[in-house]
Amino acid sequence: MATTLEPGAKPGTAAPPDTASDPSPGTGPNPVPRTALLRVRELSVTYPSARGAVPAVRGVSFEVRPGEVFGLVGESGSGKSSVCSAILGMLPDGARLDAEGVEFEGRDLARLRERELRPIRGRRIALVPQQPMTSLSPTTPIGRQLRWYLGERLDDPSVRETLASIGLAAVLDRGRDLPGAFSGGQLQRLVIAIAALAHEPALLLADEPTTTLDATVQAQVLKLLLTLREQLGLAVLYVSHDLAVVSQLCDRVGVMYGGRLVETAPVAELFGNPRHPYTRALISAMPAMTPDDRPLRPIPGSAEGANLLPGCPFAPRCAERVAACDTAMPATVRVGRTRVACHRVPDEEAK
Amino acid sequence: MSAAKRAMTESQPEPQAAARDAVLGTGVEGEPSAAQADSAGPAVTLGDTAPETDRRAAQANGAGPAVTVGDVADERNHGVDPRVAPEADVHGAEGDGVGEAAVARIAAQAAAARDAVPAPGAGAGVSDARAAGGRVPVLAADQLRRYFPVPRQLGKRGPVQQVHAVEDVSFDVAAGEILAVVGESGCGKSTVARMLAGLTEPTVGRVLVDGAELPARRTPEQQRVVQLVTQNPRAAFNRRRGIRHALHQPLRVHGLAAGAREREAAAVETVRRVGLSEEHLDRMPRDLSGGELARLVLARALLVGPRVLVLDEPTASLDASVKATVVNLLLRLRDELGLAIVVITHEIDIARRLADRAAVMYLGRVVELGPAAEVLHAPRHPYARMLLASVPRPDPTRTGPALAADMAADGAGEVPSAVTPPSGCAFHPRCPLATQVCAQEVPEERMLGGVRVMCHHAEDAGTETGAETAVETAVDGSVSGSAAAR
Repeated sequence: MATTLEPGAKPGTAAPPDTASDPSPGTGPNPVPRTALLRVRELSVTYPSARGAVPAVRGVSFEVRPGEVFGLVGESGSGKSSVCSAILGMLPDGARLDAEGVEFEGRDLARLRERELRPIRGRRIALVPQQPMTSLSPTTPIGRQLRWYLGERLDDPSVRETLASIGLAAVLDRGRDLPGAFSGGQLQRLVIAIAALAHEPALLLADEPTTTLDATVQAQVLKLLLTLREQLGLAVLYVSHDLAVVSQLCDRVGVMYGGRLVETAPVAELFGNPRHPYTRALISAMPAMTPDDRPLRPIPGSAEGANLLPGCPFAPRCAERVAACDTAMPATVRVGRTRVACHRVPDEEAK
Repeated sequence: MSAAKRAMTESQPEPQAAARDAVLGTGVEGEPSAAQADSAGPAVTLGDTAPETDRRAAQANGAGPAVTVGDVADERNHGVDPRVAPEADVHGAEGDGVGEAAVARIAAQAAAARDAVPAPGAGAGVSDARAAGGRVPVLAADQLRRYFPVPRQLGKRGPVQQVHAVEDVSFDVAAGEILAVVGESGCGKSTVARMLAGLTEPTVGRVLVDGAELPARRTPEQQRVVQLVTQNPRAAFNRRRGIRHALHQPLRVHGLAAGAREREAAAVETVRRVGLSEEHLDRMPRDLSGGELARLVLARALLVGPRVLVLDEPTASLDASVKATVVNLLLRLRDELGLAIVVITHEIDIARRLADRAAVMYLGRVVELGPAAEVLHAPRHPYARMLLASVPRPDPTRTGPALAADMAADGAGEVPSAVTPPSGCAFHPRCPLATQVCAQEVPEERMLGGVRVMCHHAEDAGTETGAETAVETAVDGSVSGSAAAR
């Protein structure tokens, strides 16, 4: 069993997001304190369909550093889950993956064969699925399932202590019960614990892990992710449509729309000074960000077909659009610690 | 074969089940009091399985007289059992389908217990509304209870257990008002929604519209009054039929329009009302976005001219920007049509936007009820505080790990089982304010300001500011984040 901790995954080195300068992939001559754990460059995913190929992800580049929680937000259909599947090499048959590179610990995942991916998937990169119930066997006592995944490490006092510290003492005590006897929050925490403890991965992919949970339980799960990050030095790629959750959990956030990554920024920067019009619209549509006496401001139009547009995917719904927006995808530029793809942004900054 | 099985159980130490079934087989029709006498075992258990057993017996179609629920109700109307009779006026004599002596007895006990307590605002939702002043409630839930039997595990013996899904819930909604019911999953809020809509029969309690009881088995006319909009809009449509069919169907079923032309006119008008255009009628569900479908589900509910809309998690599966659309639409419908709307949701920030009044549920009980401005912003009940504290709040000045690290969420504990709810106040094992009395006595409902609270200690929390901060620190320290406390 691979139990080695990779360099960089030192406990306690929880991402200092604000101190690290933001290196942009491709233009990375500036001194980066530590190489990125995961570096995705120009990732594209295309699904076949009866009406021709559907581009789900288009030229997405970002990186996740050791011990960092990176959030990927976007509405349904924005391609965020496809990014996750692409990283794990779990795209459905027929889907096409193009990338300059999906580099993880010095290897290009996009070029690996299935056989070579296996020792990485689940061991170095673990996945936390959306539905805990569907990833546990409903007819096997929970204790035995823990034994499947953790093996003799389940007897390790420190592992048991970790499990107890994240509120799973009840699960350890009731090992003979079936998963159905536990609450959704307990199971989701258990699944996360299995993902994080079974092989001590360097990166945890969490695809909407709290969407089906209540606020109180969600808070517990988020807390758990942060605890594990502290204890194990895990990096987390957190995929969600919930901006509020992302704002609490993540160090840096990437906003996706229509298959494109339109803005990447440290979380305080993203909320404090959003650059892309879509980010701004998304934030102002949040109930918590609207004064009580004002109606909510939904984004007009719909995201349908945005992934097919030749220009900026947000152009049809954008209040600030110019002619260029319809024809050409804006290049990604750096503004402060933000990377943003919008035709209007360089103008504003030039003033 | 079920009869044989019962015969077997009779010889085994399962008093209630066997006895109940035996009663069903022999005596129910003639004397419901027999059933009552036999219920002398664990009262809670019996109270609610009994009607369930009736139905099973009726379906089994063999053992004894086929007793349908309606029959039982009729019997009660004949007043066979004197002990049931005083209950009739509280309980409604229209054959509400809950008819069973033992159930009535529980209700009678509950009513008696309540009458003995002169608590202001306690009890029926109607009086609560009067107390609130001026509001004329359209829909009222009056002491709704719903228990579900837990299927016994194979090979295990012992009494049939009950999930206390809803435990004595009373509230009301006025026209042009939105009531948000918030709480964690498993607190019974969806069961309440189903009872309001007549899809689930209350074990005890009534649903009233304009003060008159709506039975659980409703005539088409009664069905139209309260319309339920369920959670997942995509699952709510027949994916092989167009939207036009979906919107014509309720008119057809209820015979509300003479001919296709009239139906079409009504459909077009309603589609426009929810902010879509008539070309949506030609589309198939798969061609529409989640937000459009959410609006069309609403449109379909509106077609039959309801006075009350019950929405179960209307925004749960929607994207952030689409949520805003639905919220704004609901607010508009409330004003334009004067609808009474009940929104069941676990999303506090959505509830804050929507609600005029709010109810917080915990383990089947409404622990706090009152104006949304108070309940969803400055709650008095410790559970409501904890719930609000766990809502993630984006704050540009303070985001990210620093804020999240504050969330001492482990202390929040687990929602206890509804099969064996904790004694006294169900929240006491998780409550920072809990004292001995909390473990022993179910708190009474008390009015604090305009808010009905079910807590032994809420008063100190709500009225005096000093105590309030004490509570707040307690909540912060042991339960959940300062994130939400401010």
